[in-house]
Amino acid sequence: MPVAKHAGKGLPESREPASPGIQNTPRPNKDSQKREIMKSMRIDAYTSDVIERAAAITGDSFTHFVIQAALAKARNALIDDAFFPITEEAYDQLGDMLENPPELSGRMKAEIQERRRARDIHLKSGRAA
Amino acid sequence: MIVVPLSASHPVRNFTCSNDTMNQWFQDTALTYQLIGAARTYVALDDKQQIMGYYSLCNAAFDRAEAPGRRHGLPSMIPAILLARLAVDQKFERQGVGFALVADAMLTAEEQARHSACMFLTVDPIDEAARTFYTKAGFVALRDSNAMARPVKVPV
Repeated sequence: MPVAKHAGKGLPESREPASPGIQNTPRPNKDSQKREIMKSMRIDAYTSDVIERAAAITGDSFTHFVIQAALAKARNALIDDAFFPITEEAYDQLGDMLENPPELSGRMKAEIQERRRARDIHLKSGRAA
Repeated sequence: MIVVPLSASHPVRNFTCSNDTMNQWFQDTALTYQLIGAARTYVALDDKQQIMGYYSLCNAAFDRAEAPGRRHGLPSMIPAILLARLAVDQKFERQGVGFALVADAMLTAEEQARHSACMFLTVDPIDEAARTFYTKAGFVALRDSNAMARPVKVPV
């Protein structure tokens, strides 16, 4: 049997590799991150064996392996979901943000200036060509 | 580095970042979406025309789900642009390409705001590392949400 790394801890948090990548994921609040959800499912013996062997090789528990694989697939399915239901608090926050735009770091200001300059050059050379 | 809209001439097959999902989408879907208008993808090219990174944008909205109606003089459905994907090729990691791409996305959003309603640029970070990255890039975490946002400067 694989080592049950996350046994008894409920839903493990995402352990994906660091990347500047982004996806439109469901938006959990603190409560739902901690909530323990029991779901039972019927899996045929062959499927179960394959998953168990794969989980053992990666050093994961069966549950953790299945959840991580399903989470990756779910995120992929939701990637183009661009509709964000927000709470009243977040709505207020957006309103405040428009009145007092958050300051950009010096680095980001410089990046924006550089990109603006690069765009202008590109546009000019495009017209010349 | 130049950043240009993705086209069929770009060598998408050579692109490799640390996230397989990002590679797969870029190699298999990005160009199709570009052609049908389902997402706009921009690529950063070096002087040898190698792809350093990419980002994709689509239209988005914040919906005040609990209580429709206006406050702050804002509509209950707030128009935004979603920075749906951003990835940097492994060969070009740790050179600030990610920040350059975000800066470019901010300018694209600003340009967009000239033509249609767009009040915020938003992201939905995939993990904690991405969240730290977007915080550094100037995005603010929204309460009760995984999304982050910053206002788009509306051109006058």
